[in-house]
Amino acid sequence: MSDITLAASANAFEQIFTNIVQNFTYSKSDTASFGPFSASYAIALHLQDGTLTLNNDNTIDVSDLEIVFDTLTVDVCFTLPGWCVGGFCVVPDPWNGCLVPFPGFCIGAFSICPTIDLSGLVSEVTEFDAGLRVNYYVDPARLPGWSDLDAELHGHPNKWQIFINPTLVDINPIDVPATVANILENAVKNAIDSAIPSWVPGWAVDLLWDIIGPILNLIVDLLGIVGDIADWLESLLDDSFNILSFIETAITDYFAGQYPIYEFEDPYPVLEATPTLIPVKIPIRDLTATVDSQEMVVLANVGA
Amino acid sequence: MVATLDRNFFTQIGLDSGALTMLGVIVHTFGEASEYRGAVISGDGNEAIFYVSVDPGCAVAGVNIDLAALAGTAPGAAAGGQGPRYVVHPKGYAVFRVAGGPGGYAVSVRKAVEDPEVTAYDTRALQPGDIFSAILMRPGRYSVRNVLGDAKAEVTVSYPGDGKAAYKPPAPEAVELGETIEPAHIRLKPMQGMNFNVRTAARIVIELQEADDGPRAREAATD
Amino acid sequence: MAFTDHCDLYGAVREAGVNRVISHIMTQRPSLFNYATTAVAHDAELWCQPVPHTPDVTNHGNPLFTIVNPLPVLGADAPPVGLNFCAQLTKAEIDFSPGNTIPLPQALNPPLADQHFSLLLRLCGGIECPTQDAINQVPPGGQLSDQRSSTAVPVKEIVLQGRLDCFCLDVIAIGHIQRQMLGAVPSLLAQVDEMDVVGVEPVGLEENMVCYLKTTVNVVLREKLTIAIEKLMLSFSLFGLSTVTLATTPNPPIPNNPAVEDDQVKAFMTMTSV
Repeated sequence: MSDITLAASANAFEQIFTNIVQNFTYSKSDTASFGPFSASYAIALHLQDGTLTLNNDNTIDVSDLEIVFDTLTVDVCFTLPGWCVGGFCVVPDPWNGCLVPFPGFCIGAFSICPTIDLSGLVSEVTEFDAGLRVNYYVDPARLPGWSDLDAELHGHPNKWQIFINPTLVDINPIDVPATVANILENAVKNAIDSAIPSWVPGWAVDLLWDIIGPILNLIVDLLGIVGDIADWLESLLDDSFNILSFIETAITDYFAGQYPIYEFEDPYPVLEATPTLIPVKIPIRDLTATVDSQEMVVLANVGA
Repeated sequence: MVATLDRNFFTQIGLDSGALTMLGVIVHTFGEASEYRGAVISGDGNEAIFYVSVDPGCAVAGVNIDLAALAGTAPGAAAGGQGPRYVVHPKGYAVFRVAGGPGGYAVSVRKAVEDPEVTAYDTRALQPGDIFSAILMRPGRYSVRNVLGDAKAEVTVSYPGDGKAAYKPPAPEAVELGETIEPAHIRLKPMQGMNFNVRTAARIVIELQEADDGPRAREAATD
Repeated sequence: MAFTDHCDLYGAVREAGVNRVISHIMTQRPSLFNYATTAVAHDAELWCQPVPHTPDVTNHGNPLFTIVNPLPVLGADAPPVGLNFCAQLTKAEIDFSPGNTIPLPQALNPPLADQHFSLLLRLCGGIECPTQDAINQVPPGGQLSDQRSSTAVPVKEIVLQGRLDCFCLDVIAIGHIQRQMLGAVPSLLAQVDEMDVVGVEPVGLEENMVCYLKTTVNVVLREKLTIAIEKLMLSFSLFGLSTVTLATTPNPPIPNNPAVEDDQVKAFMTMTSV
């Protein structure tokens, strides 16, 4: 029989879990080249909601946990080829060529980086299976000669920690909406508009757009997109940039090693220090943590 | 990155074959083998000299003579000095064009060894057999006149489309310029060329009469 | 049956654990259990019992004894005369209901009642008994002339030296644990209800000793050893959440909170979302 028994109801455990969920944030960005284009992304996300279930087999399930992308932007950079239009033949070659051509006018090749902004998108953690993990943390900054009291006075005490230890985290692929085609089209239009000098008169801008033709066709050709643009972007994010894997790892690492659901100093101070007296600290040993369908139970002994 | 566009394409409205710009080309056949000395005359009166060897022994059917380069206003121009020499077959074509810059050039060519019996060729008075090729950028209605004669015509350049298909200008319109201009009413798409086949002494002046600023401007005008 | 059937947070400590906690307190804060005059505290030869302590105590300059004034010799005031003494609590052991580790004397009406604890204390002490030579150092006739002078300075007390005669008493007490709010912090306070000092006669002397010791223990428990329920529950993370408030679970559904039963002290908290 253990000296100390602590128990938290399923409701109490869920409160603690919710607090941890609310403190989770993750951000990442990266750039890569994919032949005809390069792309970079920036994500910043947090978790919300989530329903916790404690099981009698000492496991924890979480459902309805959502990933909110506060930032999800993708910059797709590519080079628009030059266009030469308006040329025609003044004196044809009797042998089926052109002896004297009239040169047209050319727009030189230039690069654009339209930004696709999907911020606000929500995805879901479809699988979150976990257990509890007890960890005894020894601060690496603690010097070998220190007593436990010295370690506390230097701000590097040992700690008991209990983590939710995910065994499986699986998240839904980022569900890029079909409207992304319009978003991309508008982004490319904006990027080209920005590249056209301001002195170009309106009729000439209309003429340029008429020459360039349908933007989506242009994008599909230039980027080598086969099929749906939404599918292409999903594949870019999920497969090429491997974002899902990064997020799954981040969630796992966060719960399993960064944010304990419960931690306390060891030895544990039962009487605080006074201006003249050191604190009284009790060594805690043999800490275990388990769950069943009703509660989490923490057992421990008071060390000698 | 800012697109590389030559401002002159969009800011020069109208043409004058006697003051050549990027929007026009003059094609001339010398016919007689000889050594010729040409001068590019800028609007400010400066001259740049060049030479043309019209040689039946050469196989060159056409030679581009960039007036902007000769006048020193185009990149890579070689102003001053002896002047460059071009070679072309007597039945070949000397093509006077302006590759860049504001233009406004005329060309005067005479034999290198001056012959009082032979009149100098001057682009300000095109000769029968010359071709003046022009392109109109700005949508609107233009007048066409031979200021050395009475011939007149009208050109309408339509407004660009809606971009639902990538636009390619149609083939150029052939225009006969003699005592009259045929056709008298020329309808062009944007950037569609016109080749004036010159049958009489001519200086072709094309001037904008009425601009077409497109559907938005028309709607705004009716509001 | 779950621990939290009627509450959200449950904490319990068995008596064996509490006794180890007491042992840690005694070795880490010995001055709470050992009292002596300066001369005795500074001479280990004079202590009734050794004072076990952790190296941190002396490494950080903490005292082993709380220094107290000498025991005054009644009637001596010119100069005042005192005797060295020491009092040490050398053992403290608790037994939660049902009683099974501390046999209760008949005076405490065994068996131990429900929801109660018993306490075994061993108290050792002694007063220095001065030799006649030491007594002879007290000025005969006193220093009356000096005392009557308007310019008199306070006369320094004479503390007589001698041999310390130590004795040890076993004291057994029974009591209960009650909730006490320290400010807004729900806490547990142990209170001794009855006490028996074994082997002291006559009865009047025993009763006076019991009264003094019981008062001392209860005052020290109130002043020094009231423990917040949060401490009992090892500062469980629910206490730090701003989204909930925690209150002790009322009766009903919990009849005794804290409960002293099953050889444990138990506390029950109910959570309310903010």
